[in-house]
Amino acid sequence: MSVRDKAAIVGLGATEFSKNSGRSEMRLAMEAINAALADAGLAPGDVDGIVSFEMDNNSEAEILRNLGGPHLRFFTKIGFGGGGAGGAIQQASLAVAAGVAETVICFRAMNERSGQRFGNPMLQNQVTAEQLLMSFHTVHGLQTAAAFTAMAMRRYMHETGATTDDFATISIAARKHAATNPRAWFYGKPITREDYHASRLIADPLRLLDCCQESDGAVAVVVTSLERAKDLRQRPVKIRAAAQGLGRGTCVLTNYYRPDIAPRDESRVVSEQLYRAAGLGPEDMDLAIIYDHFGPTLLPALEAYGFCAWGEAKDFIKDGAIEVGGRLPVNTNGGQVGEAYIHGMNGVGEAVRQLRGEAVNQVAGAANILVTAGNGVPTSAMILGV
Amino acid sequence: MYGEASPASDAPALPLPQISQDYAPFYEGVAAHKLLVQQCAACGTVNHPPQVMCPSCQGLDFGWRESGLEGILYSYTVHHHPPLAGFASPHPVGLAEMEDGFRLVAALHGLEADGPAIGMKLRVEFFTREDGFPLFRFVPAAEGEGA
Repeated sequence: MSVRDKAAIVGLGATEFSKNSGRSEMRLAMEAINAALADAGLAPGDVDGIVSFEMDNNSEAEILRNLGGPHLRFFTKIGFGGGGAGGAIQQASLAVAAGVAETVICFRAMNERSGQRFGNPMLQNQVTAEQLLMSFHTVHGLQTAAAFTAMAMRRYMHETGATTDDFATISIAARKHAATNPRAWFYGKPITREDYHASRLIADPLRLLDCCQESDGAVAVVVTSLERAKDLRQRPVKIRAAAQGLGRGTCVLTNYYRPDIAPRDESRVVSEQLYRAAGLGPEDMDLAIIYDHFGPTLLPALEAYGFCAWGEAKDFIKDGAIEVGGRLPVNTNGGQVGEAYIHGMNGVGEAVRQLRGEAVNQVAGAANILVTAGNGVPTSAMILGV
Repeated sequence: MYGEASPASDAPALPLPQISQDYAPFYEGVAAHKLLVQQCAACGTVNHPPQVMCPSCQGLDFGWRESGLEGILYSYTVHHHPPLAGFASPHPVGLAEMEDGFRLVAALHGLEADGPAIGMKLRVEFFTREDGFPLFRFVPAAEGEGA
């Protein structure tokens, strides 16, 4: 059964993005969900499904209690943190296409800066399969997401000839887009190449300006059937395809034991499914939202999603190619480096705005957009279109 | 280039690995100053990090083979921020391609001032941490040595 264009995003809601929201994660979730329902012209009682992230601290039971709706018929959570956004949209579209649920909320709400910060050392006491492997590395002082990724990107540089000046190009583009986006934390704050190279090292070769922000905030979207979407308030954003992927030898952020340690293999698993399911290719994408937990990981992602050959992303991004007006504008909201880090759900929001023609850095006539989740972890992505 | 960790008196607790039945022989090997790598009893496939099932033949029985200690630096990072309890900053960590054909992560110790370089020859050195936990790290292999 193909689910191409069977379901659509019909509502988008978000809180402001900040470093200290001053309110609970539950409150952030409800504000974003309520805003998304209002945007769609739907009532709280219409919601019968919820998909979120395993790392989200809000419970579906509490959400339904707050919404005041009669029931939920479908609720699930996607694992692996920032790898999850495409999986969440996939679950919602499958549920809607199968008739299991009719109105599904996908959301992420977190006080990631003022509460639990994901940039901290990953030292946990629970004995799980994932933590056994994680502690196999943390015992040596390799402990943070930045350091795990830095190890992979250092090898990527060695193999492809990419340099930190290429990393600067990515960061500059993100901050240029954020500078004209009032929702972005770095609104009005573009950076220069000199700023990039002067920023402090976090985990060599990654610098502060390579790293996504740490953010408080929430984003929610409403998914329903395309048939029902036609009667609602907004122009439906069709879910052309959504897919998850895990490759041989994928380890969470530490893919060091497979031939190619770049954060690329699991994205390739997703990429092949997406284009086949959507009947589209990379050349059909008018722009891309590419997960930037660390800006330099855009390079292997561009290769995995077929925009250029292996090792050629450093050339692909030159001369403004990933800025609005370039051949593939990327992260037109400023991405997670420039706008906010909401585990990629703010990127889904940007794609919805672009496809409605309402983005601040609008790409004229945008009809198909690739939106990816984090690479280097079990991941996912989607193609949205109008 | 890279300082020593602060002395034990004011040092915060160092991280300990979690050790299940599946990982125990590896760490027991480290305590005995041996680098042990898991090998499938049925088909001889080498697994590192340890697994519970051989991905080649689905065997569940393993032996542990003592491996050579020489390797080549495959990639590295130098951790700067945030501070890591029990480690100096900056703190270099390497991923080495070992002479017996598997990759291994460990801290890089005793580097010259110009720091790590992919392709440099390394050797595993066993040591006992200040808290008594036995561990290993990479040190530069002396000239004339190496894999």
